[in-house]
Amino acid sequence: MAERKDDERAAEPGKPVPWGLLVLSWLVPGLGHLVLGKRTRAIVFAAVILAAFVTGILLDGELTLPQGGSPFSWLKAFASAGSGIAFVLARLAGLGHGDPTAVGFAFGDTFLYTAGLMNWLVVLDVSDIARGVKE
Amino acid sequence: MVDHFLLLVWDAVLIAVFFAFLWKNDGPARKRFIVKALLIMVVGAVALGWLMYPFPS
Repeated sequence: MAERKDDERAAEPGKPVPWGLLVLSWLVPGLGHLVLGKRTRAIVFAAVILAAFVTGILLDGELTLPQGGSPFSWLKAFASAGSGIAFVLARLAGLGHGDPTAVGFAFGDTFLYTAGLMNWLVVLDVSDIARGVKE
Repeated sequence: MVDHFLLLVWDAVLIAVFFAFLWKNDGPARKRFIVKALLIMVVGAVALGWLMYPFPS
């Protein structure tokens, strides 16, 4: 019910793309929705993306960086980098280098890519809501 | 943390909840979506694995 009121407030067609809000949304999963008044979605998105990210790190997954001569690594880096500030902090903390000998390595990668790709979708959702395309 | 089936279910749960809140606006529709998506992902993955079982690795 509260979500429905929030939707009505946000829906104003024809607005420009809010680039600052999109950057915020990428950096901190769920923050974009919170700013737009979508509290429930913000909490759920943040929790789900963080849970996937932490699971991936615990399973020794790799936060891939782009490598020259390996086009596929750019796609993996795009997926990994979607996690925003979590990606940066984990790399700075020396996490997410990946251990191919770990039992859960492939699963860890999957969770990390899932977290990042979900956050990219959240960024697109914030754009749609802010521009009034979606409620 | 290394039980592959539990990891599969956990990933499916996260993805089902995520898309339920991304695509659906009301509670009952979200619940229905979560159940359907979970069933499709978990049962589908197990069925696919079972079908692949006879093939050599």
